[in-house]
Amino acid sequence: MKVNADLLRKYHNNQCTPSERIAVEDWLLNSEVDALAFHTEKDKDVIKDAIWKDVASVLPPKAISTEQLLKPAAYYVWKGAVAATLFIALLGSAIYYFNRNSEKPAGFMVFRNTSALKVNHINSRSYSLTIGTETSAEINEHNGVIDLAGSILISPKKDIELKFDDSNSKVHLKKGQTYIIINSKSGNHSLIVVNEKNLINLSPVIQKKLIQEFDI
Amino acid sequence: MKRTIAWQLSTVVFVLLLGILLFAACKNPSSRADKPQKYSLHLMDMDAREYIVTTDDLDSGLIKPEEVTEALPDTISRNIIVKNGYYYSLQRKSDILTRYALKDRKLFPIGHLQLHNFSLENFLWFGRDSLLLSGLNYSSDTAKYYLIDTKNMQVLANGLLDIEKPTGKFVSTSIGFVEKRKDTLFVGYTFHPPIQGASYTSSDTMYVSRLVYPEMKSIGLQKEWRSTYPGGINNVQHNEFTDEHGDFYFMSCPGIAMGNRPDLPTAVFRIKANSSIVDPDYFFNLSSSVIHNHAYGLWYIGHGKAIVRSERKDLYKGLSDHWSTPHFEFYVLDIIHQKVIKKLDLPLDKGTRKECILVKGDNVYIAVNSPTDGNYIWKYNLKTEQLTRGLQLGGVSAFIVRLDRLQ
Repeated sequence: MKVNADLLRKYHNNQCTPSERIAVEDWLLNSEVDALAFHTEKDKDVIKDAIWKDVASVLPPKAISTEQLLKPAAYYVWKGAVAATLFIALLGSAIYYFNRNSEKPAGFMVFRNTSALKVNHINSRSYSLTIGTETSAEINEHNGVIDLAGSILISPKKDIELKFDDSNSKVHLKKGQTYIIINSKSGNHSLIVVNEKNLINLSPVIQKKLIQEFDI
Repeated sequence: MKRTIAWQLSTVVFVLLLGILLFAACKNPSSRADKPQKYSLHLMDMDAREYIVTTDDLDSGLIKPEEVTEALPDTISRNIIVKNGYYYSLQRKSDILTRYALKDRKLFPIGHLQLHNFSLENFLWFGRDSLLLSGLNYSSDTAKYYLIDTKNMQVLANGLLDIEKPTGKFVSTSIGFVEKRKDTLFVGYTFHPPIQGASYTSSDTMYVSRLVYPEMKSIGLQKEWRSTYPGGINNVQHNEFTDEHGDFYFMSCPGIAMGNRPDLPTAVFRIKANSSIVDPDYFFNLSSSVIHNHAYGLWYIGHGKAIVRSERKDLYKGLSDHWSTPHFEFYVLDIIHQKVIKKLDLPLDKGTRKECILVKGDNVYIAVNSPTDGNYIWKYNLKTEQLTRGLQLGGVSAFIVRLDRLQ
């Protein structure tokens, strides 16, 4: 399978089929595989030029002009080598960076919002999440265990099941619905999970706070 | 000749009459559908979709909301005010108060009024078309009011209510009741410290301010320590009433679903008709009675009696299942002599707060949602003390959250 820019994009968006994933990972690990395929030769030239501009900007201008004048042939060889090295290094770091980020939502996540006024919004493959004020949440997606102190607003993109550190009961959240989850380490309400539509069932004091906090 | 003319005339009259009859017969079905009915029921299904259905008969029959109407839009919820065939709903995001009428069994907006930075806590009708809305700003620390002409949807007066503000460790207010007597307004409220996650609570003190109407300036303040969190948000559930003698009663709601000071008792208080203070000699402690629980919802049924809707703390786990678990019981109270008369033999009801009792003559209609016994309007006859099952709510109905007199 030919690895091209589209396939790489799919890879870091986690949209690859298993065979595509293997192909990309082989390509990344194996130095003997084919060079990166571009859509057109023009794309290749554009990217090459862009890389060279970057390289040129950090080189002493005088040296470049001298080399250009005196050793044009060597310069082109040198330019190709640097460009190729830098390109591979950049691509490697980019893939590492994206790969690291894409794996994060699938594993263990820690969110902390120390602001007393603003909420944080997070979008992942499985859900949209709003972290309430003065809230910390640790979510382990492998076993669905959440350690929460504070409030979150969560809209699952698929049916999910969550367990809470200090509670034995499992919580089933339906795709497309929005849930408010609040938890305290103190007080007599340890954990409250409620569909946003049922907000009115909560105490008016909490309702008002959540309405303000999440702007719902 | 005369006979022929008379015959012709009678034929014309007959044809005319037939025409009128046919016209009336054709028109009737649609006019019947639009004719305002006596009662309004606000229903909710398991997916929190809400419906409003109307009927003239609470004693029998079956209504499946999905067969007679459409689900309400998200902008309209159960915290709605129903009066004289109209519905009033304040949208919390836009602060727009909308007046609705029923058209083809659906709510149809017929008037709007823009309010500002206002969260409704209590409503009180001053007359057929004068509605006092008392509430708070978004930060819940400043009390405000709007006096509205509902017929023309215009603000007659608005401003601040001169009640105490939260100070020290308290940052927000809950207004639990507003009662008017001539030129005096009684406002009952309490304060709350900042909320951390799910842990909220209330001050151990409740306050009753007396304001002079229409200036809304304070002319007196009383502090009460016998319980806290007076009343509640009365467009969701009533916790207060005035009896035939003009005596005003309100219930404190310190249970977990309201004030969350479960150490303090749920109790009924009184402001006598000829007094301007909470009666120091009257304290109907429901938590220490045979009920032995906290309660939310108190309705007057006449002749010195009231019905209270009390929770069963042994049947629910916490706030997450407080609304979905059937655990509510109904007790008849002798409000004057501070006695629990009896528990009504009804299935356990579900739903944390509901406006579910309506009195008509000697009959009290009680909306009960039981996952095992079904959703019914029960009829309790005050004379015979008999309980009978009336109108059934079927189909997708899961909760009867409001039962209102529409006309």
